[in-house]
Amino acid sequence: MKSLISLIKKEVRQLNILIIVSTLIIAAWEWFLITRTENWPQGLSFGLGFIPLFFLPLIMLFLAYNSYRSEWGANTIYLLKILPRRGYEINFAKVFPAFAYYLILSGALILVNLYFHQGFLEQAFRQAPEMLGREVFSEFLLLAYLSYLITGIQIYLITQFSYLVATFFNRFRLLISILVFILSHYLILRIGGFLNYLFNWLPDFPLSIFTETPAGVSETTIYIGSAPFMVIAVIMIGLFFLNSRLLASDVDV
Amino acid sequence: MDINFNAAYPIYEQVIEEIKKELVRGELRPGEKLPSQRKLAKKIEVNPNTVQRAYREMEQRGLVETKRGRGTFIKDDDQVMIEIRKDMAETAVKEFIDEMISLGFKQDDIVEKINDNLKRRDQDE
Amino acid sequence: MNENIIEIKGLKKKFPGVQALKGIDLKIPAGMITGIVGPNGSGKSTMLKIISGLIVKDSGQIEINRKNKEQHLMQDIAFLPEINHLYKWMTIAEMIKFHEEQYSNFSAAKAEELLKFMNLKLEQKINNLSKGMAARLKLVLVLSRSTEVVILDEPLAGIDPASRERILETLIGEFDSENQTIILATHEIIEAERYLDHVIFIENGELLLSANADDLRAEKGKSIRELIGEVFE
Repeated sequence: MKSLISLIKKEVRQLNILIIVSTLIIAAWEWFLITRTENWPQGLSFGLGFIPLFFLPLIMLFLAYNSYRSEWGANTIYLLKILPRRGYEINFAKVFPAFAYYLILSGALILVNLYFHQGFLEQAFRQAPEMLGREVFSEFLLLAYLSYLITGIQIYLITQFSYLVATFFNRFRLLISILVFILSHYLILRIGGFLNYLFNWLPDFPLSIFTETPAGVSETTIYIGSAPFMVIAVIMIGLFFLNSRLLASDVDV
Repeated sequence: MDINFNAAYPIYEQVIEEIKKELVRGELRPGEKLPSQRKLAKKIEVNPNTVQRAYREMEQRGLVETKRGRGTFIKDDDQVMIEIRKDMAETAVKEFIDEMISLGFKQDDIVEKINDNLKRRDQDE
Repeated sequence: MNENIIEIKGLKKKFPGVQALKGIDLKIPAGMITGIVGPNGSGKSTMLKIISGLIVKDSGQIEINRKNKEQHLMQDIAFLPEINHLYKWMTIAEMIKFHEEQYSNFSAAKAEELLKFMNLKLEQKINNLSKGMAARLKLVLVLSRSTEVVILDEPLAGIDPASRERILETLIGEFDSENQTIILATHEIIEAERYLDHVIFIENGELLLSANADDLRAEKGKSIRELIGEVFE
């Protein structure tokens, strides 16, 4: 355990610059939107506040690709591979800080944005009855966020996989990474589709929805299948261990 | 012990030679304890395995004996000293003659040179 | 101790365009300092990297007869690569700490003792080390651990004579012949010759010779260095 923490600490120090810079930029952007846009239409600053969410997955892509490229480039892959650590320990030390960063930044961003636009949101909800059939479900937002997190992890692990596969080749590594990246997404779709059948028996997520109709507020429950989430979780875990195994046993320095 | 090793000869043999020289010179006495293998290796800067082999060889040749728990000792045996002396003399003579032959001298010349040199030593004294 | 610490059978490895190892059969004696000599590209580095798990073999068997087969292989092998494999942004102190946290048999106290002997300071940044200093540091990291096997890949190549002397001095000083085996790969012998128990010659991925150094000297009447000049083209 102590050795794993030591590895994670080392990884965090290696990530340093990018994390700090991107956090500062995002913080500055949010700060700008919160404090300097009183004259703007309310919805605009609220919407713009979520723009960094588009960039975070790209940052994950970069972090993932760089996670091992930087080690190979500086020859420190030797140091990693002569450590008495399992592949999944080394890989966990890479994935965990990146994912924590992704989670914290996206979560903080959303919460800050929601908090500082409460006035606007209350207004929007009051207008809701005018838009017939408009439903508000907070649990849905949670599931959406969960999907967003999964997207981030998926991009990370697939990019990592693509880079590791490319190291088996001597030339055209970038091209091969891109090819594997694209193919992996397709593969995951197909594997996911197949696994979905296997997981069909899993209980669904119940969501309560409040609908406001001319007759009053009523509550209904809809069910969202949990199978896709389980499937993607299983695939991601599998991919994590696959990458770990490749790193430990199959790649050459 | 201060050895300049010749890399063309087995190093353990050279260690043995040095010990023999010390015996002949009287720096080491029969019955005396040799330094521990590790100490000697550190002192003359060689691989401890080399010293180990040297000690083993010397024991096989009857030059030393290992007393369990106490170390390795030069055999307390006059005969040993005599043998060593003879041994070293043989080697010295052989090397000398080899050298002289390689310089082109014939047997009679060599004997003559030896006698000349010995006479001069007598005269100097 | 088992007579042979490492036994290799039929080891093969191919890189794009070159068969680096063509089927090596080799036994490395335990408790000895073995020098693996061969020109650059002979395959000696490849072989050592395969033993240490850095490169995957194509075929063949490697048996490492270590005492505790339960723990991770790299707890028992200390590997010193030819290239600079340390994180340049760390200071020496940080690198020592990192090794202490990662290896169960790493002694920080020993490391500091060796650092002093090697004239290296804890505050120095690895980025700012000269080639000789980096080489000395790498050796400190390896010898601060009490491992069964120590593998050094060209520890003296391109190093200034003063550092070379220090390195050899430290190596022979720390060598524990009762419990340790040292394998040293080099393309030239010079000063290291007198410390070798066993020598192995490798060229073009093939084994040319494997013999006890002193026996070789007795048989051929030459130094290992002279033999190298003769055996290798």
